[in-house]
Amino acid sequence: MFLFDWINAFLNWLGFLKNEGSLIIVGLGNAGKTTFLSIISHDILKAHMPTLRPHQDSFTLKNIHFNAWDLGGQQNLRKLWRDYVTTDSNDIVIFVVDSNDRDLLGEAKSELHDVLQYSGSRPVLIIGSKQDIKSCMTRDELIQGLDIGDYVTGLTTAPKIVDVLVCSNVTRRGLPQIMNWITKCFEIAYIK
Amino acid sequence: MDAIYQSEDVDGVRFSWNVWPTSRVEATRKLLVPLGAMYTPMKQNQNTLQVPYPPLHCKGLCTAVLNPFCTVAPPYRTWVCPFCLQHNQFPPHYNGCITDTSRPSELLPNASTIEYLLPTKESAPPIYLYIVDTCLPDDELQKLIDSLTMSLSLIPENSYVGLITFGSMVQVYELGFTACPKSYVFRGNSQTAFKAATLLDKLGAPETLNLASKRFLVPVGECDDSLTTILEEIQKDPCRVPSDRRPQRATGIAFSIASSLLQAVAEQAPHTKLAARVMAFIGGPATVGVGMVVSDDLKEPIRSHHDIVKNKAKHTTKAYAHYKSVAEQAVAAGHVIDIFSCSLDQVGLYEMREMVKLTGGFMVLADGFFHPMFQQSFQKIFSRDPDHQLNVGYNADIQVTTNRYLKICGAIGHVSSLNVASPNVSENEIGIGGTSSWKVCGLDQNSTFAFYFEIANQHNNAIPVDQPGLIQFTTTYQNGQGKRIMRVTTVRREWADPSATISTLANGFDQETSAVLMARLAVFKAETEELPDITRWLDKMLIRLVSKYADFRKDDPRSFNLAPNFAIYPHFMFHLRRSNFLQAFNNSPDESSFYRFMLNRENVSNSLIMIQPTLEQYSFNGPPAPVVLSATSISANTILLLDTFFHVLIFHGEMVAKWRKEGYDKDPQHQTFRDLLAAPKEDAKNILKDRFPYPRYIDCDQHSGEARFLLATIDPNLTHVSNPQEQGNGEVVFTDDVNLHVFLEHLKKFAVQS
Repeated sequence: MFLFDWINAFLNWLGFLKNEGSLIIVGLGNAGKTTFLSIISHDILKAHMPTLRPHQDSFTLKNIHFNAWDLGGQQNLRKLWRDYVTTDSNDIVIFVVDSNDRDLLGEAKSELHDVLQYSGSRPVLIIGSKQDIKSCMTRDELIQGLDIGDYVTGLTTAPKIVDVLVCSNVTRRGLPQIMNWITKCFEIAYIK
Repeated sequence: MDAIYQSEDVDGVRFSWNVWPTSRVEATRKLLVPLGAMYTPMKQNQNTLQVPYPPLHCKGLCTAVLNPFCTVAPPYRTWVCPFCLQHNQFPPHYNGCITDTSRPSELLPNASTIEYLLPTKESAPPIYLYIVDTCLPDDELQKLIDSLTMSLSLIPENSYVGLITFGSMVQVYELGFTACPKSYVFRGNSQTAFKAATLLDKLGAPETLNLASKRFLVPVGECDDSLTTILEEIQKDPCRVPSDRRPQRATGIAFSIASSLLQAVAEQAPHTKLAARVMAFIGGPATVGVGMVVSDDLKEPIRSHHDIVKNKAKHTTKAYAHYKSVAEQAVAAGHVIDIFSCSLDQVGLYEMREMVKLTGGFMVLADGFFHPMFQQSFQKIFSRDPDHQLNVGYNADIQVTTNRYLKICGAIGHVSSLNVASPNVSENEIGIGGTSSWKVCGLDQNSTFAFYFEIANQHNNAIPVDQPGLIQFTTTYQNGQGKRIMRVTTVRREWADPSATISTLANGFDQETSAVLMARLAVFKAETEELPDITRWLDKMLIRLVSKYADFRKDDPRSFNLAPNFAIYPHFMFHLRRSNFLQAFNNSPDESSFYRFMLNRENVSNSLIMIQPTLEQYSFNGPPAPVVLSATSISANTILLLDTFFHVLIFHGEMVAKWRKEGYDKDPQHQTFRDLLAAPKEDAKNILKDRFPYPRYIDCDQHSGEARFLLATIDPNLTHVSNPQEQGNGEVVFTDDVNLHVFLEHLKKFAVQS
């Protein structure tokens, strides 16, 4: 096993085996986008200031190198999303929703539907965050509240992959599944 | 501390160490924060002596200026320079001025700082050359034009103005041609920078480019009507932008042309020094021609910190080199470059930063031209002092003189080297070194420079008692009225008796200045080194410092104790490590460049606010009071005011917010509640009034999204893993970060280790 890892690492280093993908993380302000990126790329939970200008980090999951862009979610910053979502062809769009904010669910819904339109054939993963809080919405409630029942395909090769997963950045619950989903999705959509 | 503040007030100088060891060996062993000074050359003090004649210089190599520390003895014909011990004759007109009871002003004890008015010909008032981005959305462009039009009434009437606009092409307006708006148009996609000579070719005979010909640069009093018309008629760049493209911006060429135009004008007047400001208003990244930072294809995202570290930023090296060459051209001619970066995304400040840094210009980073962070900042540049003068300096040079027991390692701040390798220059370079003189094209009352020194004296060489530790700062600049001023500050500090205990040195330690000098050094290192290495270096230096100066028994962390003038220093270091200066995550390269720029510009107290923000609490139980910057300071029925220098935030506790939402502040019976709500707003207003650039102002409630500005800043001494009993008091922060307490415990453990 050790030898196998070592060969893999070596090949990786040489640049073989490597695929490049990018994640575009969007969602309303205070949904937990930056915290999510900090955890998947550095495994560090931190308190962050609201994101203003887009910033990027990167990480490797199962031989796939991801560049992840974290975009600000405040009202005036959302017009930037489109520019970033439509850039690369190997994109996976991640839309983060605060599972506890029922007041803003309507706003999230309308932004999400816009994203689903202009993201074209790119896969979209909706993440319900903050699942550690007791009163949070479940996956089914989110699908219903966001009115995306018709879109959700799960991991298939349908014209456009759309899925919903839930997690807690604080307890890390649900994060392994999300990382798994991201690599699987990349393989299905872009490697084949 | 009072003596330190007083000396700062009078001289604008503060040292990390106020008592100096007498030998190099001692210094390496004991000065675990470098010996350095923060110097503010335009520090205002009503009592500063001003004299209308030129200074006397020492005829020795040091060229120091006559000062109160010079020895003058009967019959008062000569003076001894305290820096090089040279004997100098007083010129004949000093005869009789000096007697047993009287001295000329510059020898009086209160003349440690004195300003000489130099008898040079008055030079022309400063030139303002605007560079305007026209690839803006219509509403943004309109807001920018409104601000620019307004500024014409604030510029002194006899000042010259010029206008360059850019988009896919660059237009230079001939303001002196009044029959109709006339401009010269240049291609924007040129891959080479403009030389002044090429520009002259296109614009006509060189002799028509002097100030007297008034073609491109015209006094604002003579052209404000026509210029207002031109500004109003500026059109959005005509080049069509497809939805998958960025607008074409020839920012690089625009800067190149501006700089060459000023150089050409300056060459027509070789005997006077022209003061000039290039003010660039930029709303997006350069996408064509030399200096482009990203291609116009949206498929290519702009570079991130990550790309820069991994050396994958495609255009950065080339663009950086271009803007740096523009910067050098401006420095050679003595012109200032200001950048107003107003956009929600990056514009390439990271690549352009040297133009502002090397010339001492202003850098403003705002969300857009409609935003108060731009509008208020821009207006503030033109605000007058009580004498109705613009308090700025141009074309300055700063010279530092030391006696032979000290050497100069370098400077960190917005200066460029004049490469004067005098004998007091150390080989050990810190910051911009190898020189004892620096050039600063633009100065104002806040511009502060860090200078680093080393003790050069050999171990066995005793320093004579009549030779105190002396440093002289000499800044010569042209003020807003075109007069040349030389400000001379001579400061004296004591030598530590070699036989004395370490407490002599310790007593002279200034933890605030030390923290700022270390922060500047860390940010300087960040230009070339990786951030985790810098954090480790800061930790190592901190451990060495406290293990030298703390009081403890070996291997007993509980016995660890720091004297009051060291006690807060570890707190500063804790916050510095966490700050935006040394953390790249959640920041773009443009934002990091801006934050670091500001740290390199401000004085000690403002820099400390940036390193460890201030938090003020307002409650029903007494007057407003400062509270510790930590999670336990948050409570439901108080209001907090946070000042990070870049953000000013009012934070209403949960209950206060609830009462306000229920309208208690409108109830006539609740005057005290109304007063409570009003007090932080009033204080915030006072901060906003004086601060440059205008900070981001946030008014928010506990648990709202904007409250994260506070939660990300405070010491997270209460987290989701804390004991639930403690959680009742304060607000829980979701973080794995170490808090101040843990940091200090570790520090003690390492410090006492034998």
